[in-house]
Amino acid sequence: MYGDDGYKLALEAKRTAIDRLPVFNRELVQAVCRETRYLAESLERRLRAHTEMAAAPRTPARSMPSQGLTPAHRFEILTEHLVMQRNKRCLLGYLHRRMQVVMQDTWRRGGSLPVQANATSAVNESEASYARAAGQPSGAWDETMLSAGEAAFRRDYARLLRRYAATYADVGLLEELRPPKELYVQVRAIRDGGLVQTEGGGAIRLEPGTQCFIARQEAQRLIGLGLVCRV
Amino acid sequence: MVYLRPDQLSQAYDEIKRNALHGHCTVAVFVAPDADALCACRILVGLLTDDFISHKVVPVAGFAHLMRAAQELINTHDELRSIVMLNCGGITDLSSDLSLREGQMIYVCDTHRPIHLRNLFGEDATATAMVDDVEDMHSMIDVYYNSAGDSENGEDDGNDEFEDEKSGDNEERYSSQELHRAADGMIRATIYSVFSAIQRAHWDRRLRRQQNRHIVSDYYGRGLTRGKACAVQLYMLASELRRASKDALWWAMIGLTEQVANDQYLIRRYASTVKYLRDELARLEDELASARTAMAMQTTKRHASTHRSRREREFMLYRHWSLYDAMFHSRYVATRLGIWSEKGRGRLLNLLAKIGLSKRQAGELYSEMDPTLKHKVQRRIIEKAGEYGLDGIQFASFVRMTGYRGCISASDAVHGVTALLKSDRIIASKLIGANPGAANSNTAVDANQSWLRGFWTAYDALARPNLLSFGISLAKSLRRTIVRQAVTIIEKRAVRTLSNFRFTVLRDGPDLPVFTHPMTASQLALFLLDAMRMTSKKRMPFLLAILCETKDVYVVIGLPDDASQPNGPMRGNPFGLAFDECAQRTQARVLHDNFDMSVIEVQREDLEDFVDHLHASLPALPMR
Repeated sequence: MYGDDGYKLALEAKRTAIDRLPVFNRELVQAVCRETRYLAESLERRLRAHTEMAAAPRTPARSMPSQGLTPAHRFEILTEHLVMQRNKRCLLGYLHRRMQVVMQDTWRRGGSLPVQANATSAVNESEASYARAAGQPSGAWDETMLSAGEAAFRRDYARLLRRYAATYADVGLLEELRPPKELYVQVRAIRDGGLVQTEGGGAIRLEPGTQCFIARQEAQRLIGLGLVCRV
Repeated sequence: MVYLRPDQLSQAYDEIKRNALHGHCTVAVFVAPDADALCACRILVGLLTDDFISHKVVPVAGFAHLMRAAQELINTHDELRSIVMLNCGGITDLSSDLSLREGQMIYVCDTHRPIHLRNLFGEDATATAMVDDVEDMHSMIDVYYNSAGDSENGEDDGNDEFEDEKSGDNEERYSSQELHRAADGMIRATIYSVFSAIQRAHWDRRLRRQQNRHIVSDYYGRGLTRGKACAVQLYMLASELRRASKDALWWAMIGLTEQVANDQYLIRRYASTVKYLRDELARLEDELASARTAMAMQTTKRHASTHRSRREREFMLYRHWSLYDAMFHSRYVATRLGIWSEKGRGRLLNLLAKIGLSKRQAGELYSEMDPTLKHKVQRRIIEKAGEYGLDGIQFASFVRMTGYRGCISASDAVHGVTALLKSDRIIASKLIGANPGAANSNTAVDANQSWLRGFWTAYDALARPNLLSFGISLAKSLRRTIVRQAVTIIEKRAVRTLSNFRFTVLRDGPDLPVFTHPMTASQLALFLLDAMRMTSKKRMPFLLAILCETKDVYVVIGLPDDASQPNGPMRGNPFGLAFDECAQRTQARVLHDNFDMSVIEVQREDLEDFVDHLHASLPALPMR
């Protein structure tokens, strides 16, 4: 049925949220594109047939071009056109929703990108399965969820955001708007960050597997760098 | 003040608080991987969090790890002021093993006894240990403070002259040095050889020193024992600060129950601690009730959990299992009925029948049994247990009820948390049967990482019921494996009886990797020890060696013959000292790294020699 795939995409877009970004659904997007292209070709064929028919020398009495179309034909064309429009809307909506999420996430991270975790992907995978077995939702999403275009967008957007925020250095554009409930937060080091200088002038060592209770600002920065995660 | 009585804990905490700098991480907490330390850690972290004291929690796996991590932190971390060690570190001489900086302080809360005397009475006052058995310490205080007083008369000097052995007039100092060296001997050499070296003193002083020596050698020679659970000590601290919460109380209960589950604590002392906790519970309930009426609208989901003190049965996880399985797999019931034989299993079914349960009903999940039947069963178990020699089937404990999640008893929680702690991914996947291929591929890569994850999962499980129930399901399969292995060992008659201890080696079997974790191994050893007690009259210590193929070592565990006498002093575990001595004499390649000193890793080829020597030397040691 026409538009089914588009509907699925729209549903997926609806389910997308900031902390739950599904993997970019390449097959579905391609299916919708294919369907739309097919519809466009079919529509074009119909219209061409009709214009040829209209252009053909006939009795001059029939001046209106649409008179060659039966209501059934007209309805076919209209349907195909609407489905195309609708597919396009679904597709754009899907991409837009994901883009919004990526943008929100970039703001939340304060314009910094998480460190790539390619080397440990196998470990992460089995870890995720362990977490599933333990009934923990794995909340975080990473680069693998995004398509190539989205990833590029994220990089560029983050750069843009940083540059923009740098022009208002004294305002602190990337800070959270709501006042924080707690001044300190519990974080757990995910990977070895070495000795990290804190804003207060001190230093803190981040070894994987340790839990620290540190100032919120500090934590935000470290989370942004992907060195720690919040408990 | 270098050693703290329970009522002085709040002083130590105030000191930590005073030394904290705003915005700097001044406190480091080192935590041993056991349920008690985890609970203690949660209580402490709760306190520090409420006071906005920035801190760092570092899980440590063994002595070497602890020392390395602590020293590294001291060296690199300028702001560090206070180091807290939970359930670790008390047994070594911290002030000499770690080079502390000015103004840094170590607080040790360790249940492992003996605590190194220098941590308790050292001159430089850098390490503070928390002690509960004060009556034990009085004689020791005499020894130390008298000799310290004498030496101050003689000469007022610092640590650097401490090594000066030649000077005639600080005889007493010399003696206290001997004592310290004797204390180090706990780790490195046997105290007896050190003590026999003392030959150079005046006669009158010698007499007194001899008495002192007796006291000290008694102290170390008593073997390994356990003190009051860390979690309970820290709960007492919280309570003293008037900041006890129900969660803290629950964690204290778990910490206490862990010791009992592993036979590490005297029943008599357990009873008094349970009474203390029960009083605390009543007090908290009262306070909370009055608070709740004041702001009735703000009852959160958290407050929906209630705690009760209950008489608990000695059935393993019976709230989450079928009654038959619970009884079959509980150490208490299984060993007393002798489930390894056909006859024993018959006795178990017989007992169930007398209670009024058919075989099918006993196989149902307990939580889904008919309520009226449950009541009947509860009553009749008590009546009939005596006929089967299960008199001690009830003990005082606590349960926690959380909303619709059913109730969890403290011992269930202990089993769950411990199972999570010791199951790294390999074991977990073996137990659940999930992706073994992926697990094996990177075993070597992150053996380090995986125990850490187990640690933090267990830590989280203390506050998250659904994680805990996952832990309980792990505990069940772990328990099945343990009992199956124990039955195999008994059926094969693989336990050798030597003249002064019993000994088993576990070399093969499908579940071998599971048992290489010291805690699983000691559970197996406990089960076997109990079983041996039932089958023969002669009471003997028990030694279990388990081959760890990946490391090519044997994990050796020694257990004393009976730790839990109803009254009388607690008998220590003689193996801690004996292990060290044997390793020294036989030149065996060993790793005595576990915080529980009754566990040692021996190189595969050296085991035979090691055990032979142990066999020869054990009676020579004091086994009071």
